[in-house]
Amino acid sequence: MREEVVAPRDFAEFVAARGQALQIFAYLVTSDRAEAADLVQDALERAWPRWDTLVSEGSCEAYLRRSIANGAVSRWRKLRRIVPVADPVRPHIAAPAEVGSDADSAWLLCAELPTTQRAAVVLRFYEDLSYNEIGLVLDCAEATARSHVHRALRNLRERLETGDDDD
Amino acid sequence: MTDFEREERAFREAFAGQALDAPTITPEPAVRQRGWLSAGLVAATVLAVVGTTFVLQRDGDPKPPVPTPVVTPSYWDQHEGRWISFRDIEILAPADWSYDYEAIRPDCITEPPTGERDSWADDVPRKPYVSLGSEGRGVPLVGCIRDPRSGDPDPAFGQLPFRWWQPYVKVEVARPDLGRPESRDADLEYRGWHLTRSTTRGIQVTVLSAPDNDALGAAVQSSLRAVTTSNLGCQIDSPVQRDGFRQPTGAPVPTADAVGSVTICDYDRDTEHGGGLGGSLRISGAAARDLVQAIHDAPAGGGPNTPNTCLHDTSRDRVIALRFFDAAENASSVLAEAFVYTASCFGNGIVDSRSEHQLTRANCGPLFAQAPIGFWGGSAGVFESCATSRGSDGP
Repeated sequence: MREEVVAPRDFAEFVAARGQALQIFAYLVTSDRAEAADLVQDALERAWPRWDTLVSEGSCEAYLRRSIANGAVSRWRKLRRIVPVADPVRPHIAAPAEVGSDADSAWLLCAELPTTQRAAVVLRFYEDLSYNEIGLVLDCAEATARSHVHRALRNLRERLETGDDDD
Repeated sequence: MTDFEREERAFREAFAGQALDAPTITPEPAVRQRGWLSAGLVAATVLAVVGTTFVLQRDGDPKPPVPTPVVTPSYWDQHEGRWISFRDIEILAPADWSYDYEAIRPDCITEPPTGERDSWADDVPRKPYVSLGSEGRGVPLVGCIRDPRSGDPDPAFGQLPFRWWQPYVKVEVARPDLGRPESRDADLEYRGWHLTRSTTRGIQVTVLSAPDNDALGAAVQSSLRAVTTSNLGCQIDSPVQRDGFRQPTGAPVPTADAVGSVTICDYDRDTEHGGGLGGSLRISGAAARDLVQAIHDAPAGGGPNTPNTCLHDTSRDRVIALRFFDAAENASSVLAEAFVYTASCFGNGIVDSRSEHQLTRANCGPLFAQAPIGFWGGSAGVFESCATSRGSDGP
């Protein structure tokens, strides 16, 4: 994925410039501060040995985001294996004091989305990536990326309409 | 407005708000010399251990130190390469290999040679080259049957006689439906020459390397990457690819003095076999400004058109997008775009967001002057304006 920002060849310079953005992405995908930090750390460790190649290809951001998203999926699956008889442990989301706004409903819905679908929604509505670019990050077809986002939008619509009816 | 405007807004607001709650990190990079790189290059690493301190401060347990990576120079560290775009992929090829076209009928080249001039060999490339799929190129329909001989290479190498072989990199739409030996993926050797052919994302990349450059094939194949914009600034998915005659949006063609370079993006609109970006070239400096001025100087209103000489239910299968860049030649600084229609008997011309210009020798000839963009067909008036290159000469 061709990137809008040319990544500095210096690894630390890149982390200083983009580390927080990666942290935010990881947090939006997991809703867990500690897990987000771990995912970013793991992703940076994986990127480090191939950093020059990633810079020359212009794929640093895509690689790191994909690492974070895949890491989130792997951790969630691992968590399921650790707790085989119980319901899968979803990332904890502190419920807002009042579920009043559409944004509150959207955030609560995120907790229930499969991790890959949630990552697609974050990439679309926080990172503003195109569906083609989302597909490159998540290593899926553009149509699949589009389907992830569309399903999430439909789910949220149902939730918001239910909430409207209750009002 | 989308159908899910309310829902989209909800997600955006949720994420924007929650982003403020994301944990912060304060990397404190350590600096050490990376001895395996060129002398004088100092790189900072965030994850290396400085003493016993992990410099990426965060909550949680410290991680074990990252071992010093061993960097093996890649092929492209030792050989200069350039990116070659085709459809939605790019590969690296040797920087000094020019674009060229394969021989139009290699099977008709006399083998063994008779000592007389063989006109079928006139278009055989004489030096290493890069070739892109050129589906619009006409092929003479003649019957040439050569008896196989013992010691001949595997048919996957193609039918060009060995004495004419040059190293090449070829990128084209995969056509397994044709069932030709030259269409199947392969990894073969013949007299020290190495052929690799691999298909990814529907695109087939073939590399024929000479005996002294055996590592080239693997280096080219492993360089493949998917892109959304080509290295010269062509959109992989451009509105010009849609059927019909379209007008670009945005600014009109700028004045010549504002332009540093022009990228020529050649699109194949054959949706049956996978249309998309074909060849692309960049014209820079004075040549770019001359082209822009020639567009402005051309008569208004488009053409040349001879609307009574072809069917009107198609708008033909080739179209060019011109992308104008400022003097910085930054791929992201597109000043404007124009579409060039040449392939039909009507609707021809150079169109920008505000006007239409006639095709002339000065504004169309340069677009088809060199491979990989060839003029493969058009009405007589368009031919006179645009066909100036080898691509239009045929075999």
